[in-house]
Amino acid sequence: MKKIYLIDDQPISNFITKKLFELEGYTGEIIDFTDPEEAFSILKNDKDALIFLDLNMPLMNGWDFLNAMQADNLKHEVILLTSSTSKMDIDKAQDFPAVIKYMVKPMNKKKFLELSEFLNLTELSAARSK
Amino acid sequence: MHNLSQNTSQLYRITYEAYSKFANEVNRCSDLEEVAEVCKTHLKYLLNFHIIRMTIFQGDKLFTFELYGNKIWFDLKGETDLLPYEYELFKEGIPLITNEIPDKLVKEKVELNALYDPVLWGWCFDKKERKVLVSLLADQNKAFSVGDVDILKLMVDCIQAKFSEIYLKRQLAIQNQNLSDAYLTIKEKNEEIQRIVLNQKETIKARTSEIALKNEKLLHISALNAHNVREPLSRIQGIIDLFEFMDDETCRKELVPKLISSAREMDEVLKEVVEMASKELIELKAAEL
Repeated sequence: MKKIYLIDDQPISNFITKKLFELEGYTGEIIDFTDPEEAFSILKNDKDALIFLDLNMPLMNGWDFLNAMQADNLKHEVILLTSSTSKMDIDKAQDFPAVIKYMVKPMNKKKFLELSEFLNLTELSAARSK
Repeated sequence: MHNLSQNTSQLYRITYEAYSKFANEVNRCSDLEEVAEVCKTHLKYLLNFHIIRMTIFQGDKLFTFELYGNKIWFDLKGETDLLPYEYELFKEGIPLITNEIPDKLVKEKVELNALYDPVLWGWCFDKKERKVLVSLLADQNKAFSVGDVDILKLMVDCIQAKFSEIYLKRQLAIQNQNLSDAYLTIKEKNEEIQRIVLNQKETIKARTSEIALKNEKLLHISALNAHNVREPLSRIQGIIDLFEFMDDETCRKELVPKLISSAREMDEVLKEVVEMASKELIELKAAEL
């Protein structure tokens, strides 16, 4: 099971995502950060994680984070989870191969199901049936 | 030796030669002073006279010159008045021949007492565009007769033609000067207009880029504002979506406080947006003034 990282300067956003994972019966490891720099220093030494990344953050924003990942050749998968509906941001996201999905907040149960292709659904349904 | 004055054909040849010389010299003249000098040298070979006086009319101006003895006097500026008999000539156009010699004509030029039977001749030649008054004072010693009128007319024609030429040249020079003055003025004005146009273009360019910059700034601010407002709103929506999956106790304890803090944050952001927008409006208005 992939390790999941939540990076959002708003703890409430991380709380919502985490709750949705819990509701789906996900039992894997979920680590949340409100400081992207701290998250990056840990992700540097990890492999094949799935990152939920916010764009608008002070000090280090989502783009800075993605650039830093590219610079260090880190191969994690990134789902952008942002309140931005701007076309400029959506287009810009295409420039980063690491980004596998662009999601507009609020995250809810319906949207969460769209992620099934990236999360192991069988694992999820198996966990649910337990 | 036979009498020259009786040999008419020879007399004609001599007169013709004298006139040719005179006409040639007049032809070469480039101004009226030179014409006067030629008259002084050559007229005495064509005609007998004590005083010859010519007045050429040009528009409302007069050009007068007089020849007496070996002296010449002329007025190119038209400041001299006509003599009374000249007024008559001008008005009536009838040739004049009289023994009454006006003092004004001879004064300080010829001693009237020294003349033997003086006669004053006068003509008004009406040449197309201008009149020419000619008067001639002769006596028995320097005799003038009706037979001399033809040569006098030729002489007057020659001088008058030259006068026309010089006058036209002068007019042309004045016109040319006026034209080149006008050209210079137009050129200067054009340059001034060019400068103004260039200045305008630059002002417009500067203003346009200023406005574009302001627009960009405002758009950026509005986008940023929408963004900042949407952020806490999306959190509120996210929390609300969780309500249906949790029991009342958890909702009240976990979700409601988060709802309250997110709503408070959204309020803060909206206050900031309003403040920023008013500030921008005030700045824009100030910049317009």
